[in-house]
Amino acid sequence: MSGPFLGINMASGALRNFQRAIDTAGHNIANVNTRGYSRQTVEYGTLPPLNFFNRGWKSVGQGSVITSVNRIRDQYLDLSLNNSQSQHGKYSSLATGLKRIDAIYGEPSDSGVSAALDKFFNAWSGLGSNPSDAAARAQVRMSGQVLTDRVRNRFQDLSVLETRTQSEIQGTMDQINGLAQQIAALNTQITTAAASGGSPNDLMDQRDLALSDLSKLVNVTKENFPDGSYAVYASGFTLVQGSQAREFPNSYNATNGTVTDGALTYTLKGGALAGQLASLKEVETQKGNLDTLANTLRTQINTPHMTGINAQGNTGIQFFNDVIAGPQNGAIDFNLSADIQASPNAIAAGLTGEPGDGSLAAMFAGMRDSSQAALGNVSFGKFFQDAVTKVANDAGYADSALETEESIMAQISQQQQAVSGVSIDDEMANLMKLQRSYQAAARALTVFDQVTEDLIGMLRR
Amino acid sequence: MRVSTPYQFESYSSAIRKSQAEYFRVQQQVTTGKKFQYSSEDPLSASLSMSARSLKGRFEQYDKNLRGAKDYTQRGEQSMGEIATVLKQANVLAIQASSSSLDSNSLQSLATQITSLQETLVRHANAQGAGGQYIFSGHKTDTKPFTVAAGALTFNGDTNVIRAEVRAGEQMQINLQGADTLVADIYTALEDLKTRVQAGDTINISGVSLEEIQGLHDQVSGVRAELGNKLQTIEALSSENTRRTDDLTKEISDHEEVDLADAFTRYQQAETAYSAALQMASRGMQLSLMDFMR
Repeated sequence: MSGPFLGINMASGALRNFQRAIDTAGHNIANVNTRGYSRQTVEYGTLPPLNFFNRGWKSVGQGSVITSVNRIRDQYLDLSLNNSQSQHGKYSSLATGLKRIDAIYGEPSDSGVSAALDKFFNAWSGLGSNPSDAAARAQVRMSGQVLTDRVRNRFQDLSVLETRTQSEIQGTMDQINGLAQQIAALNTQITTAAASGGSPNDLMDQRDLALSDLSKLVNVTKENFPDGSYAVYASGFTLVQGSQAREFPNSYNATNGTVTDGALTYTLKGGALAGQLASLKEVETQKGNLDTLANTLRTQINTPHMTGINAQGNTGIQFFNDVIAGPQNGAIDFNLSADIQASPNAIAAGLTGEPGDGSLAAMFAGMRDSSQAALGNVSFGKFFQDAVTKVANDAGYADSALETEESIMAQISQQQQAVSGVSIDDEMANLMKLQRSYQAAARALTVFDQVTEDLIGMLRR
Repeated sequence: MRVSTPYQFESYSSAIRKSQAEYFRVQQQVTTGKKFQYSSEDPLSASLSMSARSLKGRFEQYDKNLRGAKDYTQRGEQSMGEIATVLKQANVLAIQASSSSLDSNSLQSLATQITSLQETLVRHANAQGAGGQYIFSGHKTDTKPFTVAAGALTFNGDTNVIRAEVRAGEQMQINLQGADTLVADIYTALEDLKTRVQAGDTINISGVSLEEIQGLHDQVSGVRAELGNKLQTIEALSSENTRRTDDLTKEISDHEEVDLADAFTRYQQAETAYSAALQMASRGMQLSLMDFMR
């Protein structure tokens, strides 16, 4: 039944609603710089009309009500952005990892392994061409020392990088677990809030942000459930289900790019973790290359060298240090043998030990071009150059893939910002509109108040 | 399209970031003169440059080897020249001795001169290279090749060959093979001459010794010509090496170094792009609805 206070109720309701809308606009402006925030809008509806009889049934409106406060978000763009971020994360960490290897090799340069290999064989050529020259003999020992030092140092640098990459992988896994727990906790809060009929926009933003951060680390897919919770799968592994977060498998295999949980193996297709595993694989490959290089040099130089007679009249002397029997040690302790370190006269330039016999040295000089079965039928220099070129090419490829992925990501993120991002100008215009609406509603309240006062005054007379 | 405020500012700063990165990259190229810092920035150039560097190092080594070979050959040529002089003097002495008018005192003086020629011969046959090595003793470079004991010459070296690597897979013999017999023959010829002079055997001096000495002189000249040819070959190889080294230096520079004119042009472009990005950002940032509301 229409009463004198209907208008006052209606106007004060409108004031309350506009106040809420102004609050929302304020919330939007306040969060203009909040990561992952989606702008919110207030939707109004009419209250059910009041029916009355005046020569037939008529209806009069009873004012407005807030039907919902919406979060403006495009789930499809979220999905595309997450996929793109996974690829970006992978190439970004791969490019970083490969460039670190590239920087360790530091080629082309006079201070690299490649230059040391060249100088080593050139020194033999010098000794072979002038066997009685003490300077040429010293040059062989010095260049051998430089070569072993550089191979050993590069190997040590790679070992440090290996440890560093391993701890980065561990860090990424910890981050994945942290984000999984965050999503699981948000799932619980969102489910509770949704059950009581609310729409927890900010919580949902936080959960989407956590998922987005997670997608940078590992490729993820999600599944929506009717209760408002997510299930999150990381590379096929069920990471979050409802309020439960599962520990991401801790055992990984860099060669295959997989993680293993019991009997199940998951192949990582994207995210920083995949790139870090691929980098680790490359570091291990390069360490293996240096091992092969060191061991092949040992075998190929030592075996003939031991048949020669050196300037001290001794035979059976190793040039590089090596084990007598059993598996060779690789690059980790690559060095000249103790005899050669003690004196350059321990070097055997020839087979006879005569000071003018440079036949062995000449043979070693010729070895720089001979292909080595142990190196896959390429020469020493080519083997190392190929290794460096492969890393450089791979790093270059990762860089260009990264650039592509960056522009795709920028495009999607632009679209997402167009939908969800806060525009200050928009919000200011909106605020002006709401301010005017609020002023009008206040004005209406004054009118209704006047009418009511008139009515009360009439009765007093 | 709707433009949100964070996106607007993000696009300004990303444009600035990109043009700034390019600006600094080109700037670095200009200041260092290098096309790339790491091989991953230009894998192809890096790999070509590595091969060229390796080849250049090899040519530099060949050049050192050639210098050694040149030293050996020059010293050999020098001592053969001295030995030729010894033979010429021996020839003069033999002609003097062949005239029958000489008294025994003069003959004795000639014999003494021949002995001193023999000493000179042995001194030059024991020539040493720059490193103190004996160049006519084969592989036994630390052993004096010729010694004289009781008027007899002994060869203490061997006849092995010393080779220098002067080109990829090409070895050049740098010591003189057969010097032992040549020197021994000369020594013996002089010894015979001395005996004949002391005996006053003028017939055999002019009949046998003069011919022997002439023949040996021809042999020595032959060896000198051979060594001269070798020296020319060494010079030719050496200048070819220099040319190849220069070519490779240029090739390495082509692969590794920037063309400054080109780099400056790109630097100008990058600078223009960078300042444009800054200008656009500063203009765009100034605009806001708030400036127009009272």
